[in-house]
Amino acid sequence: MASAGSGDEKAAAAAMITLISSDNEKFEVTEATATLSQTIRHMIEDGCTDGGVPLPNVTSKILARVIEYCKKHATAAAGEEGSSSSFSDAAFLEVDRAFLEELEEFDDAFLEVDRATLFDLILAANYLDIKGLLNLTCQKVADSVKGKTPEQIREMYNIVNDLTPEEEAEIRRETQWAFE
Amino acid sequence: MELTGGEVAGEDRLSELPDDVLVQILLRVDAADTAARTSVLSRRWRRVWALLPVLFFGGSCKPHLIGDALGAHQAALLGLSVETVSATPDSVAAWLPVAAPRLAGLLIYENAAPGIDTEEQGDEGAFELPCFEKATIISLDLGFLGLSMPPAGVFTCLTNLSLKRVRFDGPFELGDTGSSLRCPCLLVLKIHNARGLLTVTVCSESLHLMELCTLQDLEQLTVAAPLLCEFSFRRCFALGSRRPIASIVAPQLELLHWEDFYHSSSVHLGKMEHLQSLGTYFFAYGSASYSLISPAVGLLLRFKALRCLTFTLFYPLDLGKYNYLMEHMTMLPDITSLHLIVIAMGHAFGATSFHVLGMCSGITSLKLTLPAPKTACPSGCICGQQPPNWKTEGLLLNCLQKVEINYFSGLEHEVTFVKRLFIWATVLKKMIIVFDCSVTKSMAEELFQMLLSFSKPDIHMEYYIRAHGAACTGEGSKAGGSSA
Repeated sequence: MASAGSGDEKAAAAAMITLISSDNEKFEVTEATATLSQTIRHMIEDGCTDGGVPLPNVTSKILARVIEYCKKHATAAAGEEGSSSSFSDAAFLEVDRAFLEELEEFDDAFLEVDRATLFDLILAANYLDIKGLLNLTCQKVADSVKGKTPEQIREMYNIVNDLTPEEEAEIRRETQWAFE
Repeated sequence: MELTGGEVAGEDRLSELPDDVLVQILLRVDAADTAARTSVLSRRWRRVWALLPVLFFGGSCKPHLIGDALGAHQAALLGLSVETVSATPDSVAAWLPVAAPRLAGLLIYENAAPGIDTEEQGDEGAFELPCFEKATIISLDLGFLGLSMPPAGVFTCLTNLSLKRVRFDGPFELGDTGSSLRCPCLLVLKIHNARGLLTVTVCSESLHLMELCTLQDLEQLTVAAPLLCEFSFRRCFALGSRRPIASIVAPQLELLHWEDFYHSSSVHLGKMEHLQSLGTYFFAYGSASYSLISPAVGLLLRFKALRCLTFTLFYPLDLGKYNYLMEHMTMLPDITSLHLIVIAMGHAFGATSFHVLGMCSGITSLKLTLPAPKTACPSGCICGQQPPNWKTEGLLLNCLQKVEINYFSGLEHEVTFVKRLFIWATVLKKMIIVFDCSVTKSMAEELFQMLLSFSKPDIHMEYYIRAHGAACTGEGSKAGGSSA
C-alpha cells in the first residue's frame, strides 16, 4: 500500500495507533491496519492521532470485529504486493488464487453474525469509510432481498408499512414496469 | 440470517440506515426492477431507489419497459447497464433515445443472441444509435443487431467507444463517428467482430488506443491520428478475398500489433519513429505463395530496431499438405526482448523456434508461450523432419539473462528445447517456468527438479502452476518453488 518498498517500511509498519471505542476501551493497532479506514487515514495525515483516536459511534464489541477484518485485509494487501513481483500475469497463478480463496473464506466466516451486529458493522464501516467492509456487509443485505416480494422484505426486516392503500396503489402505478 | 441475540424484537434497523447506505445496498441488488419494488415498502422507501446513480437491467427485464423505468427514475444517471436476450431493433429503439439525454457517464449494453455467431444474418432492420452528448464510455455488444450511426451530433464527453458483434446497417457505416469532429475527446476506440463495415476512416486528434479485430468485410482502412500510441489490427483483411487498402499515419505510435495481410503496395504505414513494440505472426507451414503476403516478411523489414517483438508462430494441424516456410523469414529487427508464442498444435517446435532465435541473438529477455492444445500430433508426422540442426548446432545468446516459459507441460520436445536453451544462453540469470494447469503439483516438482539438473547453480529458477479456469478448487495454498 502507501508505504511499500521503502527503507522506512519496517518503521511505518511498527507505528501503532490507539483506537478508543464509545465505551472507552483502547485498541492498539498498526498503522497499516488502521489506514484501511479512510477516516482514520485522513486523521493520521492531519497529525491528529496522538493520544488515541476516539470513535464515539463504535462500541468495543463492534470495533473488535472491525479490527479483525482490517488486520486480515491489511496482511492480504501486503502479501499481494510481495507475491506478484517477478511474473507478468500473476493473477492466473495457483499461488495467488489460493490466497484469494483464503481471503474469501475469511469474509464468508466473518459475515456469520446476527442481524443486529450486521447493521452495527454497516454503520461502523460507513462511518470509518472502510470500502471493502461496507461492500461486504451491504452485499449481504442486498443478497437477502433479491427475488423477494415487498411483503417478504417487510416481514424479514420488521418494516412497518405506513402507506395508505391509496398511496401504495399510486406508487405501484408509478413503478408498474418493475412489477411486470 | 438468523434473528438472534442483540436485536430488539420488531426493530426496523434497515429503514434507519442513512440514504447513502441504502443506495449502496440497492446498487448491489444488481437489478433495477428489484430496487424499484422497494418503493412500496413504506414511506421511507418511496424515493430511495430513484436516488440510484447507476441502473442495471438484467436479462429478465423486459426491454420495452426500460423506457418507463428511466422515465420514473429521477436522480442524475451516471451509469446504465442493460442486458437483453435476442432483442429486436425496435425494442432497443424504445429505450436508448430516452437514456441518451439523461446519461452522464457509462453505458454498457449487451445483447445475447444464442447461436447467432455462426449463422449469417439476413437484413432484419437496425436501430440508430442516438447521440449521447454526456456519456463518457459507451460499450455495445449487440449480438449482430443492426446498428446505424447517427448522421449528426457530437459525443462531447466520450472517451471510450467499444463496439462488439455489430452489424453495421446504414448509409454511413461507422461514418465519421471515430473522428474528432464527432468525438473530440475520444481516447480509446475498439471494434471487434463487425459485419457490413467496408470502410473505416478515423481522423482523430485525441485518440490514444485503437483495436480493430475481425472486421470481416473491411476493404479500406484510413487512420490519421497524431497522438495514437497503441494500434492493434487483427484478422480483418485476411478474411475477405479482395485486395484491401490501408493508409495509417500515426507518427507517435509506440505499440503496433498487426496480425493481418500486409503488402507494401497496398498497405501504407507512415513514419513510426517512436515504435517500441511490434506484434505480428508467421505460419511455419503453408502454401508457398502464402509467405508473400505474410506480415512477418514485409512488415518486419520496415523496422531496424525495436525494444520488444511479440511473434506468434502458427502450425496447421496437418502438416502433410504444406511447405516448410521458415526459410522465407530471414531477418528480424534488432530487439532486446522477444515474446515468442508458438501455437504448435502438438507438433515439435524446436526447429522453428531455433530459426527465430537465430535471428535475434542480442535479446536480453525471452518469454516463450506454448498454449494448448497439447494433444500430440499423429505418429509419423513430418514435424519430426524439420531441420534437425537445432539439436546439435551452436547458437550464442550471450545477452540473454531472463527466460519465462508459459504453459509448460513437460512434453518431450519442450524439455529438449529448454535443455538446449541452457546451452545457448551463456549468461542466463533467471528462469521462470509456469506449468500448464494440466500439470499436477507432484509432476511439476519432478519436472522442475529435472530442469534444475540441466541448469547451472548461478541461475535462479522459479516455478508456478497456472490456475485452472473455473474448475480450480485450490487445494493447498502454495504451488510455487524456487531454487534459491
